[in-house]
Amino acid sequence: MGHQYQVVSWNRQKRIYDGVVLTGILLFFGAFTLLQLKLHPEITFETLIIRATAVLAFLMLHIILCIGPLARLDKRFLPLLYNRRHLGVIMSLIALTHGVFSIYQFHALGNVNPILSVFISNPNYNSIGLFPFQILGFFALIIILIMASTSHDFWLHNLSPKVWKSLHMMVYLAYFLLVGHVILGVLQMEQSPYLIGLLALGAGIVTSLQWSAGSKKRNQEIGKEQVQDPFVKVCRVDDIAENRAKTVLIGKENIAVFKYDQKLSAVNNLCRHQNGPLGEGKILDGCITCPWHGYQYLPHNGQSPPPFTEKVETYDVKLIDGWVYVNPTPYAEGTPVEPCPIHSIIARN
Amino acid sequence: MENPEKANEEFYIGWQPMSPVAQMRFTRKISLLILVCVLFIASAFVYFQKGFSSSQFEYGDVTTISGMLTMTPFPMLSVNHGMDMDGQAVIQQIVLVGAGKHGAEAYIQQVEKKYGGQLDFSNVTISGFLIYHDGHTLMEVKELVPANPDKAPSTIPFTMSGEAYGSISGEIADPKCFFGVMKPGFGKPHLSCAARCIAGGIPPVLKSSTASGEAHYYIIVDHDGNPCNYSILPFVGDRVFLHGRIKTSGDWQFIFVDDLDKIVRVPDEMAYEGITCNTIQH
Repeated sequence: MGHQYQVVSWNRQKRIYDGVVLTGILLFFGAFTLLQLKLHPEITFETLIIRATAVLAFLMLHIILCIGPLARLDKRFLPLLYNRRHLGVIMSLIALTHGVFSIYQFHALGNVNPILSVFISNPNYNSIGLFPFQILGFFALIIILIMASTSHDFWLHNLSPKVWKSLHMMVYLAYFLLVGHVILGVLQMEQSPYLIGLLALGAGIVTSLQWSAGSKKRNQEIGKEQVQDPFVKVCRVDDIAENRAKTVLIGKENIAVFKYDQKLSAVNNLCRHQNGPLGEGKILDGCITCPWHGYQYLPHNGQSPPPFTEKVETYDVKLIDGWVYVNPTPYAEGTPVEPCPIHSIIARN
Repeated sequence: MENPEKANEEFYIGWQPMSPVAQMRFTRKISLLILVCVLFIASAFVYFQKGFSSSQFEYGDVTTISGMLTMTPFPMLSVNHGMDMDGQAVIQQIVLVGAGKHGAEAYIQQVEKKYGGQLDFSNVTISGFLIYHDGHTLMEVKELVPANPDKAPSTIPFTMSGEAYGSISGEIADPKCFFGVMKPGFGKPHLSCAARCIAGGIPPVLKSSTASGEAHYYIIVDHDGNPCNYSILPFVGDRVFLHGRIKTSGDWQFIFVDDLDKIVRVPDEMAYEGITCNTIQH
């Protein structure tokens, strides 16, 4: 967490993370190259680079897409999430290498512009089997490069978290395009059931994890029968662990109710950094701490402690017979709200 | 998925210098698992992919050959390798191509302009990079020099013989990539490249495989023996039936397509292997 922009604010954990990523990349290239030269010594240098970068970038995209839901389902995966953007930027560079080599190999040195060639050389747009699969990869690469170039917090701040998040949700479109790129491209030639099986396994893992994480979020939604206007019943106070929160989705309001120091406070569940789930965080040193990147907010007013300036909406909370109720009408970001004391209610119960 | 009490004990914050101990152990195990998966995927892809042909492109290794240049239907060099045991001349036809995705014609026309005369049926010396596979040879021309007419080597000019008529199925490919420059130089991933090469003047070739896997190659020309690259562009990389006369010149065969407007795609349900060059009537 930093209050001014730096290209990369390194720390020990980030260095370890990047070291592991680079080790993985070197291991992949080493194994891929050595095996190709051993099993297929006829391979050309260009084909080796195109295939190695294609497989590695696609594999890294699978890992990137799995990290988010894994971290939602099990907090122990959070260290993989913290520097996920490093993984994304490195993946985009590998994908770019694949794109540049492929366009040069298959489209350059001809009688038309190489980029134009991507779109016109194979005109079979009305055929599934012969569809020009390169354009799918081309557009996926454009999306990935846009995401990589706007991954820095500078863009997050200037585009607003909502726009930035929407932009980066396009990763799913890129993934969909890439699955088509692979199915209508190299798998048309290779046709190995094992390679098709690997692709299906990867897509299955990504889809099922995303679905599971989505189900967890959907389960938090409060039904209409629990509404006691204007307050909505959330849970028993004992269901919330100390310094932790219970999250609820009431209409469009995503709310986290925190229990700390015999008090209850409710804030918007979406971190102003990357819309991380504040309710899955913890109160540390008196501050709600986002599990994704460690951004912090004071529970009673939703403001980041100085010199930080992020703010989230706050909500009224009350306790009736050991049940926690929250008013889903938000106060403006950073508005102080008197925390609801717990001790008197417990004593009364 | 997790014990709430235990989760309360440790909380990971990325900007802190150290990760909680139990968290660090878990992350270490997961990282190791991911690295193993990375190695597995790399190995599996290489192991299960198809192999590559033994075709050769001697890029950077200049070869110089003398012979007779013919310009129609495509630039070719006829090289006389002497007589065989039966006293027949052994003639090798080398298909000439240009740099990148271009035919050799434009470069040869530049040379003709420089020397002020037609080079068709002339003896020339060509330096370039050889491309060869499956008994067929091409050369990417780097330099072409007309031979001194007084010291011209004797050779046999380009002729065609052995006319037959047939219906052949196979994939339309560009020979420069297929015979060595790219691996693989055919099939769906290579379709766009083949289209650019053929649009650039490289002679299109029909690659037809017999049921036993034996491949035959036919340079495609129109009914009158003229290049028809642009007419067949929509079918490049696809499997088609071509009907027409078949002639031989040296180690290359040509198919003179009867009607370029009546090219038929091979139905998807027909397997690639086993489609043969058939019904050839002498």
